[in-house]
Amino acid sequence: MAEYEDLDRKVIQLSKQIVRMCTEAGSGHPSSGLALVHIVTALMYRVMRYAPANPWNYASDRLVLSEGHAVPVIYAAYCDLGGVVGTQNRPSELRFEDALTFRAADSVLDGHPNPAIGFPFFDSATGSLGQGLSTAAGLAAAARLDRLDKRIFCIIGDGEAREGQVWEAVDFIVDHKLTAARPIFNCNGQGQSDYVSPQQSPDVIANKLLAYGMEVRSIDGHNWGEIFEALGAPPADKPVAVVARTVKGWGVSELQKPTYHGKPLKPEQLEAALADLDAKAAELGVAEGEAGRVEKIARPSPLDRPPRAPVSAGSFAEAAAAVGMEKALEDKKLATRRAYGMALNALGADERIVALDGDVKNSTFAEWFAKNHPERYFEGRIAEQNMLSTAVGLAAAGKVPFVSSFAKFLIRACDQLEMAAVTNANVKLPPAASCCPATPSAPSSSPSSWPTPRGSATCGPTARTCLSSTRKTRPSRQAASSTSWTGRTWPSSPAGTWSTSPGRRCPCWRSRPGCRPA
Amino acid sequence: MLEEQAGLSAGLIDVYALPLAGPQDILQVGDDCRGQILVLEDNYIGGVYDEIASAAASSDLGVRVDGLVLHSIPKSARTPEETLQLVHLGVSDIVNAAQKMFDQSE
Repeated sequence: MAEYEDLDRKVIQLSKQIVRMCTEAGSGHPSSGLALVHIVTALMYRVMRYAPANPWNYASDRLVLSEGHAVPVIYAAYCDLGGVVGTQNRPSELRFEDALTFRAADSVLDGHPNPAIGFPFFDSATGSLGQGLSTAAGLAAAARLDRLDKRIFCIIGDGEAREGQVWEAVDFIVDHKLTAARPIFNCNGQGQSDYVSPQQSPDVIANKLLAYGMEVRSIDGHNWGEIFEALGAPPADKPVAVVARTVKGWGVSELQKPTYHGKPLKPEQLEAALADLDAKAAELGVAEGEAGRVEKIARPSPLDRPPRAPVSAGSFAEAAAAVGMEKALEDKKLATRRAYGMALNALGADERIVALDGDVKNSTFAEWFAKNHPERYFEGRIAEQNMLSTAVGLAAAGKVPFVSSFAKFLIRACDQLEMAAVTNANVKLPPAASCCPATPSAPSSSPSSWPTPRGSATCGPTARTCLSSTRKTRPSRQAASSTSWTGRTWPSSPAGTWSTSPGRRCPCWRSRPGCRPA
Repeated sequence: MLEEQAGLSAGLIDVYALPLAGPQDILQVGDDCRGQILVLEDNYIGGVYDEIASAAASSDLGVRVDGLVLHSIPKSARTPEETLQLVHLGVSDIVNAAQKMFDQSE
């Protein structure tokens, strides 16, 4: 293993830092970070083409840490590499010891990946499990549109692989042949409260991936040769996934106990843990000598994005004519969902606009955009959670995604929406049929009681996110609701608390969290 | 702190500890406390605040209801006190809100 001596030294140095930073913070997930220490070191010091000094470069390879709790390993490496944080106007360079500010109130090294507070290495907030691979798919889709050869690595926990959205994302990646995305399953065998189910064992995960249509590399996640072969393998026709067997708490005996998920060592346990890692270094034959600068990072391909000239979406008449709705002007009538489809199609003049729809495009009229801008339309099929997190990835790469479905079906993506809000992602959601009496379709497909965080950036069809005219007159009469509005007036709601029907609220309002019937 | 700094005394209702109390019961307590209620909630929506405010609006008690809820997305901090300060729900924020309410009713 002499070939990898320098990397072994680095791994020991980073492992010690991971243990220290969690003890210093008094919380965190050191054992999950240690399981990934080889894979992340390989990615960030050798495999990824990027510049730690410029995390804003869209052309860079990206890393999505879907199991966000394992983030100490990335912070330790990024600090060691002098990675840049902050904003483009006020960038600042991290130093090795900055990792010890993990989870502090004034630190950008948040408990889980949180790009919005000034950690632009990441594209999305993660930590609520199961969402990262969808975001990676969005980044891969954007890369294809921008004709960039960048790669998107995404690390998913084995316990996390139980989340259905992971498999929605795999379907989406295979459907759209997004070979730039490379999922890496971190199979350490342990969850938070128990060992993972045999259903999430490395072999079963690998077989599932094969059945979904991916190519699979099964590796030992602490073996350099296997890691580099799997991460660097060029995609052929099929997307490649990596299934890595790892050791939770690698190198530190105490942290390998099953009860240690999400727990730091106490200060008095620190010395023994560092001694364990020294013993590990001796075992690897690298007890002597300092971990130096071992990074050999290739630069990303130059970003060849022509300057963007302002474009016009045209006049209303032109927009109507483009989709055969000229008669609307004469009739002075237009269903809001057709207005949505028409406007979206017209906005498509701007290359940044992309659209996703969950197999209702002929109801939301996103189909007009799909027909006229096929390369920028991504059929999400019946997998709304994936669709929303995919939009976050597209937005992170500078696209402006519009995600349409019936409001009732988008409700299942409420958590994904909240994570989009935490990310401050520029995602547009025009939900159709979003109030109780909107359609004859029964409660299973129309009514919606959708609480949104007040003052956040992206939730729901609020002023910033909704194209359809929910804030104008008769707000409850929503996109696809032209058929059966009953004219009933609901009790008025406090301004600003309710997004799908501002000014009014549905009888189902009492079901929202924090609210009890009087 | 409210009492020490401003000489204000206040009644305290833990809404979670009063599972059977509806907004009317809480309004009644507010009526006994100079007709003022400050609702503190560590969530974005302010559901309890809304509930009490709408009950107050339709009652003839003349109780004024103010609320402190989350207006920003939280981030990590190492202690609960620090976290609450970051989202403007710390002790000093509560004291200031109570003081302001008191001053405005003078």
